[in-house]
Amino acid sequence: MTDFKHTKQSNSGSKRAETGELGEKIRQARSVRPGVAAAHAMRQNELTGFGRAFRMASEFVAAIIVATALGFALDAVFGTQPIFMIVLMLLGFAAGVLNITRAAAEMNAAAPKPDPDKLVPIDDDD
Amino acid sequence: MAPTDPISQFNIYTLFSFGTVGADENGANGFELVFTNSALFMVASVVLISSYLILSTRGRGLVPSRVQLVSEIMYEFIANMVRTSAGNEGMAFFPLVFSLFAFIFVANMLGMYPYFFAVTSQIIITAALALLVMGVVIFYGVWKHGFGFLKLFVPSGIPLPIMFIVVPIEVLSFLSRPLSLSLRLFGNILAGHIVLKVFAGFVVSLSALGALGMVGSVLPFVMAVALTGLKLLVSALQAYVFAILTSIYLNDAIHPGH
Repeated sequence: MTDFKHTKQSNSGSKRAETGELGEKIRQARSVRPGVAAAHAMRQNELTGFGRAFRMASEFVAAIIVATALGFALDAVFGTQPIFMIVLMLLGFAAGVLNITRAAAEMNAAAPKPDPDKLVPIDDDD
Repeated sequence: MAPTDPISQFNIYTLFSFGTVGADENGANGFELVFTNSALFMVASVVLISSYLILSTRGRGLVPSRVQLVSEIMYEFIANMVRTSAGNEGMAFFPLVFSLFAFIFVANMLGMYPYFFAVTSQIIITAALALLVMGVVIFYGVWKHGFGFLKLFVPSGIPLPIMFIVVPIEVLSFLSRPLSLSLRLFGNILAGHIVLKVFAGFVVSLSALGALGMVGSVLPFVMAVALTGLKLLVSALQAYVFAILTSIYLNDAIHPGH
């Protein structure tokens, strides 16, 4: 977006004033359209509360399911029911927690720093 | 009238058959290639998004028209996402991520039309997409780094005894990715469609009860309207989540060391 504006301005030096005026108009139009700002904020936040919760849940459950299924298969191959399944299920719990901490770290990194003046409770769930 | 039970919308039926392959002399044990309603909506999604992108960028105006602007916004949105999560090398995978996003987005949105089939509510579709992503991640990682790709499972700077615990956990965490990736998309779309249909079904069955029922049916109707809005949001969001997780996983293939 910004490089486009650069080339535009350097290409047409005589019309710079006009472009500046148009740019001012665009900025004004953007500032009076709250929907755009809200969409941008949503993109920054990456997910709604529901989406976040579903992401966490699926990350956790998936690890346990995969680990348990793998353990079950290994038991069937080696005939050692139920040792592998139990051990891998426990490891699966650990992997699920690891997945959740990773996802939470990603979300924290993606979220913008909160403005201390505008710290109000957000009710975007209901 | 359409059936009001919430599951029948996911029925897959044959539209036409391409014929049977691999049948024995009795005509049995063959594999029938059929074109189903699911396939129809997959084709529709691909045709819709391809033709939109091709036709809207045909003019290539320096000052874009409205339709061209939408394509450009989509491009920039995905390009920025890939660049921030997978770096500039990740842009090699931009076509993959963009195709996945566009396909899932359009398929989800098509599924929002009444009587249309939601392709992504079938776990075989989402699983195939997720396995494609993991296949690309593993193939590219091994091709680019060889055994160095296995560094993905070994966090740097931990003592050797801890390795025996951490490495299996990391491997399981990696293996669980395709499942969580596919389950999330499948679960969101399936659950949304079922809930929407349940509330819409209440409207029909309540208003069949007479005047009082019709007054009461306003409540589930309001709920169905609200849920439609939520479903539109979830449909767009899940396409975005699938795309951003794809680029995060691709980042692991490009830079395996933690």
